[in-house]
Amino acid sequence: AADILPGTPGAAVDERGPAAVAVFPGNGGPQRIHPKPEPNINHPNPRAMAGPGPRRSGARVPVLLVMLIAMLMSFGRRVEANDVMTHYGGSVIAMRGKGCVGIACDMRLGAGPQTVSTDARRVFKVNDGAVVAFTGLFGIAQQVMAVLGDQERKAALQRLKEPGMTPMAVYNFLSRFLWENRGLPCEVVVAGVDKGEDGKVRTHLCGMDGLGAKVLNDDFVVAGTASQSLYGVCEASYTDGMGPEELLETLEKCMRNAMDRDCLSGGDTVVHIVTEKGVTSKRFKGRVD
Amino acid sequence: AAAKLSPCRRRRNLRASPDHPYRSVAPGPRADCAAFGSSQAFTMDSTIGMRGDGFVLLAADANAGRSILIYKQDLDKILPISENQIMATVGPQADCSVFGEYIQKNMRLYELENQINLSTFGAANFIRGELAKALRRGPYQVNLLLGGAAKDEEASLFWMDYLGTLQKVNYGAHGYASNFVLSLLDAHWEKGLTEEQAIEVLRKCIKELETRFMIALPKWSVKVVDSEGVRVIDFN
Repeated sequence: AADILPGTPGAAVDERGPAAVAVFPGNGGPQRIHPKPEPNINHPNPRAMAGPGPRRSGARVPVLLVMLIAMLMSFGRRVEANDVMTHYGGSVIAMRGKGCVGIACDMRLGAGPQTVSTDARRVFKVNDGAVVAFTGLFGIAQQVMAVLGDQERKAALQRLKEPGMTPMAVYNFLSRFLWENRGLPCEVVVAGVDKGEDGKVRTHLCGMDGLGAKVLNDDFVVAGTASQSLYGVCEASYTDGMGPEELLETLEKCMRNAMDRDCLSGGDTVVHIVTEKGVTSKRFKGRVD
Repeated sequence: AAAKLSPCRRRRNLRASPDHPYRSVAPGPRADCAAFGSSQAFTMDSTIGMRGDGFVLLAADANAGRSILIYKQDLDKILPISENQIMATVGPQADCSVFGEYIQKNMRLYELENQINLSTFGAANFIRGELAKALRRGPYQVNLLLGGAAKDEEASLFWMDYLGTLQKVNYGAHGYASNFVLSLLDAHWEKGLTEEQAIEVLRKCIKELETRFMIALPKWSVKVVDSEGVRVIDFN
């Protein structure tokens, strides 16, 4: 019949062929050339549950516009979410010796490439048995140092003895604190010694990321902008059973060589050695470049 | 010192995120990076400070403007927060004046309650704490230099970032001036500068800015703080 649209079953077929048929208002759309494949029950269609596909290229235009606007707006100093961990610079090593642990850090603080201070204090002495060092966002480091100080005072009052917190308590508290605060932009290194029940000196080394995931190492822990170089140089220099003086030299050497390869760390190196007698510190001169 | 006076019209909801002020559910872990990833608001102002023999010299440019327009050229950005401490702020003027007055009034409250002033180190830690506490609520976009010389302590200068980073420094600068002036201060600053020498170094810095910096900063407010108080230097 004349009122049935071409292409629907039962309609008149034009003998002139497909080229003669007007595409608009419609001949049923693109015609299937190959027969429809049988559904294969052994391999169900993996895209059966896929949602709408990727956005088509028409969406590239607003993305480019947004990027352009962002570039134009970025006149001032920016701290992006990606580089918040490297904005201020700084690196830290903690290494274990025989009956002692040591922490070494650099003392450069910068605002990006610009050096603000060559006297940045990254290491916080919690008590005579534990020290904590921070890299990443320096304001957060200072905030967490204050929190740790409060916690140590509270613990010392509760236990009625100094030190209030053992190194294990320090790193467990920090891990919990970081997790509960939904992750902070810092990396933490905890090093300490305490006495076990049998009276023997135990060493503790713990590294943590901003979410509080702990790693307890036997040899060394590194953090900061020079960490890639530090891994190599520490691996090469570490030996078992170093005494406090040898540990001091090793830490200073590792730090100095790694800082030479990192522009965001530099300045003097300060090394703290924690033994059962307490914490001793030594500062070595370094270059700021 | 715990701040007793809260800034007016601050959000009560402590879980609010910077991009959704009234949200009561805590955002996820990476959402807070928006707070730390917030770019420093773009302003053209600068400040320079240096420490001398028993005094601290702070200088801040006196331009107030936005984008290409200058509203006024005699704005004083160096606030006295107590009898022996001054604070130079850099950033959008709204945040600088609100935060500056907030700190001033809390310092005065501490003085009234405790009959004694906070030391410069104490003031620096208090200010840093306020900046850090505000970071997730809605950051104050204020970079500042704090200088103080109270009676029983040596003169100290503190550099502070809007993210709550605090550093004790011998000399420092914020804003675009830092790109030009820090190397001059590296060369010319030495321990124990007298006031005349410090002003000479400051003149060299400002001359450098006049030569090489695109934005004209014709007037500067310059203040010196020592154990006797705050003095304004007639620099221009």
